[in-house]
Amino acid sequence: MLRSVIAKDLRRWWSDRNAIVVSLLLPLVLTGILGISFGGFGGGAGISTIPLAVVGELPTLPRQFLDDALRETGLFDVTWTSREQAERMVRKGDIRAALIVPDDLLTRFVEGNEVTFVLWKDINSEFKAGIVEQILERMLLYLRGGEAAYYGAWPEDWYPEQGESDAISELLEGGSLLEVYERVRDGSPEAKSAWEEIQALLDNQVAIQDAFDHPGVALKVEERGGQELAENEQPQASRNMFNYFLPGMAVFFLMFSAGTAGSDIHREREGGTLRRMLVSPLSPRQLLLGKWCFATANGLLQLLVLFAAGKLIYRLNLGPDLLALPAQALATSAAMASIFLVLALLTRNEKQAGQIGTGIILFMAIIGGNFVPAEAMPDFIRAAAHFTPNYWANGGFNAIVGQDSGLAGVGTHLAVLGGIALVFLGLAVLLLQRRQREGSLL
Amino acid sequence: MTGRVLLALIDVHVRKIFADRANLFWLFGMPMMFSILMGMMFGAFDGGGGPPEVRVYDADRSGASTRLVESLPGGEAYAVVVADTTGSEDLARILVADGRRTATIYIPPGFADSLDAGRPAHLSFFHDADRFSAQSARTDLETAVLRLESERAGRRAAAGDFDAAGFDSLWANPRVKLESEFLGRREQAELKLSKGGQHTGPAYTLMFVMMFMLMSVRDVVTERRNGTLTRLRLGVSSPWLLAVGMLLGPWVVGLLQMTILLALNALVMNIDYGDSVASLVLLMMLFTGVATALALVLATVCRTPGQADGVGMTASMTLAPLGGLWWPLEVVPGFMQKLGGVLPTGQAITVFHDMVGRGYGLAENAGNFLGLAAWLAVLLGLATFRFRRLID
Repeated sequence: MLRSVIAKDLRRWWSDRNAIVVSLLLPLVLTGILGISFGGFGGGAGISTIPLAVVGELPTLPRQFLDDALRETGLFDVTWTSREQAERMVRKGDIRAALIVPDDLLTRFVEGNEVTFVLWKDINSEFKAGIVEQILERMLLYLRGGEAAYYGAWPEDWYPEQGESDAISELLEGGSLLEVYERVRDGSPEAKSAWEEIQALLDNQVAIQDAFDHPGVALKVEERGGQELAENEQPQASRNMFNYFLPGMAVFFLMFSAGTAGSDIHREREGGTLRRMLVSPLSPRQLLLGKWCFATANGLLQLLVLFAAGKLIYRLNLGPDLLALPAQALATSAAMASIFLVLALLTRNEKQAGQIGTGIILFMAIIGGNFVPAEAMPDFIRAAAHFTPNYWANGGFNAIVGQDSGLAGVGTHLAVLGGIALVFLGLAVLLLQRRQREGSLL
Repeated sequence: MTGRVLLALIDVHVRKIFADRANLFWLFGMPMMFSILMGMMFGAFDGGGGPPEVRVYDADRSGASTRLVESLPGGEAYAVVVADTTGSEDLARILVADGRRTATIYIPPGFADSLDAGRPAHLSFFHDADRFSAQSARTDLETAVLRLESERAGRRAAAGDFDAAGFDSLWANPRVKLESEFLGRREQAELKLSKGGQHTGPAYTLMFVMMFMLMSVRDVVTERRNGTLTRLRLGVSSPWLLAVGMLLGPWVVGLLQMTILLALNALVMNIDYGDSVASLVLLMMLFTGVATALALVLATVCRTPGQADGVGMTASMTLAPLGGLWWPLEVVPGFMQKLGGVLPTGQAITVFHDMVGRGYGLAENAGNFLGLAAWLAVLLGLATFRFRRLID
């Protein structure tokens, strides 16, 4: 008898095209949007190159050098332009940032003076302009380290102070290129001194380079999940982003299905079928258990179909353990079924259950990590997340799909979800008895 | 007569919506909750808990390891906390794996001895690469390691006296620098999209205004099925009048909802909407108009309230992320940006961003306003045409 009630409910649900759209198609569509937005199947297609303007009057060689250095990062689409044009483009948002190179860059650099590059950033491009800034700072960081090391080692060989004599400057001073060449060719005292100074500089540079070639610190950088990266190496964009988004969307829409399944009690009551069922040999408690079994089986089916479709469409990783995913899906469905059954018994009608239920679902979805990971939230929200069922549901699915965890790896999640299912099912039975006593069940 | 009928239709709709206390929650409570919680994620509020903690297990406890840890600046992005215990590499890894910390550092015993002896000194950094705090900590740790490497390279190359003070001075004040500034309406950090809910406030306002309209589609379908629309048709002189009345009621509710939400966001999160009141008003008129017309089109297509729920939910949940209401469009690939730019949600949020960041007014926003107006014209035409056919 109970089995036929459950089968009837399941048949009714799965023959409703609207329910299928909301519970299956919408999560798959949203996963597609989210996944494609943030890199899809991986391979670095997520973020397009960043338009960057460069402003500066540089001779051909250094200009080419700077241009090559920026392009070699593979992140920038470089355009050389005028200051006015660059400012207009940044302010309009046509480019994300503009690098202003000082016109006297070479002179300042060779003379040992301070050099300041300026970066104009588009105010509406927090993310990409931020990347430009980070990359440029990283490029300058190595120069900073090299210069500081050189200065620490040979402070006396640092750039000459203003007005101080310097053999190389004296060699180059005054004359034309031809005169400088003649001085070098004839082995003049200025040329000899300059050559000695150049040799000393080269010796120092080679010594510094050699010292940097023997790293003193072995920094091991390891990502959550075990991927080890070399120092300064960025993670490869090879992660399938759909692995990251589908579990969150699946749990989010499962909550809606569980809410609708719980509200079945209101629909049966308002349609008179509940009264008719209660004159059958079924007791109210058996009927409640039937509704719970239907909601759990329905949720389980929904999750399994979603993950199977995810495997086919988005190459979703289903984990190494054949049992882990179905067990997590069953525990999640059972917990959600219990919670929304309690909500149905606490509300007066379907409309009220729907409105309150949707509010609860959206609230839990935000703090429980269905839209953004709970870890990204402030401390008190992170703490509150532990009291939501979807936090444990999302965590378990993410462990299986994202981190290849087996049954043992999601043991805590299964235990918590199982506990929630039992406690709320018990609460639902108590509420049912109270409504029977009060005569408000029908 | 016509005006009185329209006013009566608007009045009935507004009263019906505001009489239901649950609607008030959906109109204002839920959107504000989303704005605030998502704003928190983007850093609108401190949240009381401070920045995420980066735990350091220093098993070496030497001068070199202490200096390395002290050179991590922390700040708004993360807080450096040195554990009282020496811990272990496994513990540091597990804390990150379990999501209890976004990043941890483990310095093994013998770190300083290895440095002194010229052997590679080992150091481990575990992190969740998806977290901003962890990425910031990684950048700072790599900078600190580079400093250590540079000093060591300088000492090794000097093979004698090393000017440590000179090294420190040039490291702290490098000769070649990068200065950056935002160019916008006001060159203020507070206007950045990551600050103060500048994105989440307007974005969730747009999303919930649209969602409320689209989820109300079920009411129109129910009225049609109950025969209420047929009875209303008998009371007015033309089907066009009823169609316009059915549009204006939700439009007014949408305008009220949007006005109140924008005001609440401005009060709670100190959000700025730019200098052009005319642009703001026009944007509100156009966006609420587009949402109203879209809802009416869907109402004429759906046959049952259940179908209306599914279609309304699907439309609002796809238009919001595709248009950049869940995250700024600049983070998505180029073709997704182009797609977002032609959707009404994308056009509306771009106008908000440009009003706030760039100080755009009516003229500069003309392109997006024209886009919204085109959507409005098409949807209004379709809505009135289909609605008239449906009831006549």
